[in-house]
Formats: sequence, C-alpha cells, structure tokens
Amino acid sequence: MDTAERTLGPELRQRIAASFHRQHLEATGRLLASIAHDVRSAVASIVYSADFLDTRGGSVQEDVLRAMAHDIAEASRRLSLTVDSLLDCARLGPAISVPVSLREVMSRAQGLLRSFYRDGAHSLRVELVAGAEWVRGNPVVVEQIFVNLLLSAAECAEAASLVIVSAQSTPSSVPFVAEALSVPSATGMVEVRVRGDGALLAQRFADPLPGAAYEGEVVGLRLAVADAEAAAATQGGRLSLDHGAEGLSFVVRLPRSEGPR
Amino acid sequence: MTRLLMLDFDEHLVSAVSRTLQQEGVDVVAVRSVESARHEAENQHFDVALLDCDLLDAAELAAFSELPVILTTSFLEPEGQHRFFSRAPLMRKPFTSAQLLSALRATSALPGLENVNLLDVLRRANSEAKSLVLAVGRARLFVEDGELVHAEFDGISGERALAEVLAHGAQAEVVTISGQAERRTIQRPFQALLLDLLRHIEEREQRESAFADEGREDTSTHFKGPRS
Repeated sequence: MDTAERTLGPELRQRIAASFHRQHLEATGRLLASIAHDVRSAVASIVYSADFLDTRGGSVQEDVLRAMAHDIAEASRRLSLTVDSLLDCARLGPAISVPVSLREVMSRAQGLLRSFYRDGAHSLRVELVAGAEWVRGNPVVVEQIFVNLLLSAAECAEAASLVIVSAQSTPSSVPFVAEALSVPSATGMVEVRVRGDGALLAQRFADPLPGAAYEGEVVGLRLAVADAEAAAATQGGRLSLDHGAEGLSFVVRLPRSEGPR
Repeated sequence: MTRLLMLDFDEHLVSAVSRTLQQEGVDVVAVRSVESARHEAENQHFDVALLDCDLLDAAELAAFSELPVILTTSFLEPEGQHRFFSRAPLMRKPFTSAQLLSALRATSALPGLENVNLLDVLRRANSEAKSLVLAVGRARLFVEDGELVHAEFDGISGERALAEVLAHGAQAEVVTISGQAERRTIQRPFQALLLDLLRHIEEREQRESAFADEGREDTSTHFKGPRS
C-alpha cells in the first residue's frame, strides 16, 4: 500500500472502486462499439457485392463478376482478421502482428469518439509524415491505444480544445523487440505524439495525486492511459508522458511497418 | 453521365459501388478523407454526394451544401435520418445496390436515373443483349439475351401480361431480381412486339379518353396479339 492509498478513508476507497468499475465498463463499451463498427464495415461490402451478384449476376460481364468476387474475398479476409485480432486480445489465439495504417486507425478512432468530441466542441488534427504511416501490431489493440489517448487528451480539457496527433519515424529500434515479435519489416519505430491541453494534462498527472483527485474523471483518465500503456507494451512498444515546453503530451512508440505489399 | 462523389474509407465497398453504379451510367469519384472530398467538390462538377457520415462533422457537411447528399453510417442510427445531420437521407450499412439506386432516384439531381422507366430498361437490355428478370410491382418480366421471353401479371401471362404492365405499370419502380423463365410465353422479337404494344397502348388511351368525354367506361382493353 503506497502513501497516497494509506491516507484514503474506507468511504473514499469504495467510491474509487466504483469509479474504476464504471470506467472499465465504459472502456469495454468503447471496445465493443469499435469492433461492431469494424465488423459492420466489412459486412457492408460483402452484403453489397453478394446481393448484386445474387440479383444481377446473370447479366453482368465476366470481368465485373470476377472483380466483385475478389472484393467479397478481400472483405471476408478482413473480417477474419478482426476475429483473429479479438481472439489474440482475449489470449485465445496466436499473436496477430500485421501492418496497421495509422491514418485508418485515427479515422476510425475519430469516428468512434465523434459524439464526445462534438459535445465538447473539441477538434482533432492528424499530421502523419511519410514513413510514419504504418505500424505493426494487432489492429484492434492499436486502435484501442489511440482511442484511449484521444479520449484522455480531450477529456482533461476544460473548454473546447484542439488535439493534435503527429507521427514521425525513429531510426533506432530495440532489436530484441522485432526478434521477439518475429517482425522482420519492423525497421524502426514510429513515434506518435498526442497533444491536447498540455498544462491541464500535467495537472491531472501530477504525482503524487492528492486523495480527492483519485475520483471521477482523473481516475478515468489514469485508467485509460494505464490501459493504453499496457496495450502498447504488448505490441512491442511503449507509452510515455513527455513534459515538453507546451506541457504534457502522450508519446507512443510502436514498431514501424512498410505497409501491406 | 451522372457524377457521384463518394466519401468512404472502405475500399472494397467503394469499388463495389463504383462498379455497380457504372452499369447504371453513373461515374463515381471516390475519396477516403473529408479534405479530399471537399477538394473534389470544389474543383469538379458532381450531381450527388454519397458520404460516410462516420467520417464527418456537421460543420464539414456544410461544404457539400450545393449538392444533394445521401449519408451512410456503420453506427446504429435510426434508419432514414441521422441525429446530427437532419438535412440528408441516411442509409445504414449494410445496404444493397437496389437500396442505393432507390435513394439516388429519390434525389432530384439524377435525371438520368430518375427518368428510367420500364421501356428504357427493356430497350437497353435489348440493345445490350442482356439477360435479366424484372419486378415491376406485382409483375415479372423475363428477358433472355435481350429478348422478352415471358411476362406474368395478376394471373395472366405472355403478351397480354406485358401490355397490362406497360399500360399500368410503366412508371412503377423497376427492380432487377434473380431468377429465370420457367416457360416461354412470348415468341415475337422484341422490336416488333414493342411497336405493336405501343400502338395498342396509344389506341387504348385515345379510346379511354373518348369514353371519358362521353362519361362511359371502356371495356375493350385487351391486347389481342400480333396484327396481320
């Protein structure tokens, strides 16, 4: 038991536990929404193409038929990858490590958090440079890392804020990471920086926290970031807090990928 | 040719929609980001936009205010209209090509599609020697290699059924469905058949008009078949 915990009374500890539970439920809800969105997107192209072939297949040219069958096969593969990624998350299947488009991840995360950002009048700007657009990992896990960070960056702002995501590749890599993950194309790392209201973020992450600050949004913020930190570690990466001139920002390092061939 | 701007992140859905709409004479320009969509809308002419609103904010939608817009979503929004984008119709994914065409027809920006009627579809199928089955209300029309081979409508079949469909259902929504003719009830070549049918319909309309002027009802409306 650390010093801060020792100073908490039983009532406060109970409220903190309830707050943790609520935050976990919210995080689970976000994960499920994200998965449902992915599955529905893949199903959308399968249903569209299959229905077209079913109703008009007899009257379309052979090359169109072939292309639509190819689309169905590709969308099915993507659906299968989503299921494999989920099984990996639940430790029920082999580790999934594939090229993941950061641009796509940000777009999906943004879609998922759109109502939250809209309600708080927050906005998001994504700046990805060439060579830092692809990372390697489990797509579901990578998405969850950034959903948590984008949420945290906006959540700690007291007024409408601009969250900026920037990414750059870093030449060095930890050799054993690539080796352990069997990822020959991980020729370095991508460093993604998520910057919101740095000063407020720094307040929320003041260490040690005063007892009362363990409640409510601060608990949620710390929990979401702790989840993202653990998730980054499972992907051979790392999440850290960077105290720069503009305040605090989240920095995620993940193995770089060249993108699908 | 009708031009459609499509904003969607799913490349497979984009390619499927592009291919199927191309068959309907619609040219699809697809983009994956709001910025690109805005750029295309500012620099090219489009008749309609099909936008995935999971990628959009209400303020961003304003950039497309000059265009008729159809929205799509993968989230569980109420069918028909989005909570935050009330000015545009909404289609929930997954949707079918028939639903998309129906939504496009509902926009006034697609004269090419809006005016598609049964005769246009039959003429096009004939000129392109297509095989297809059409549902026109309760009627079913079977086309093989561009030739009408069978029609059925309310218990009647053959040329009479076709005449009834053309007289009463020519403006109804035409939907392509799966299936094939189990029998052949129409033998004449399409062009000759069509000329005769159109003449018959015209005569009937004139007769009905004359009877209406006299306040009587026309009871001799059956198509008798080929003229000698």
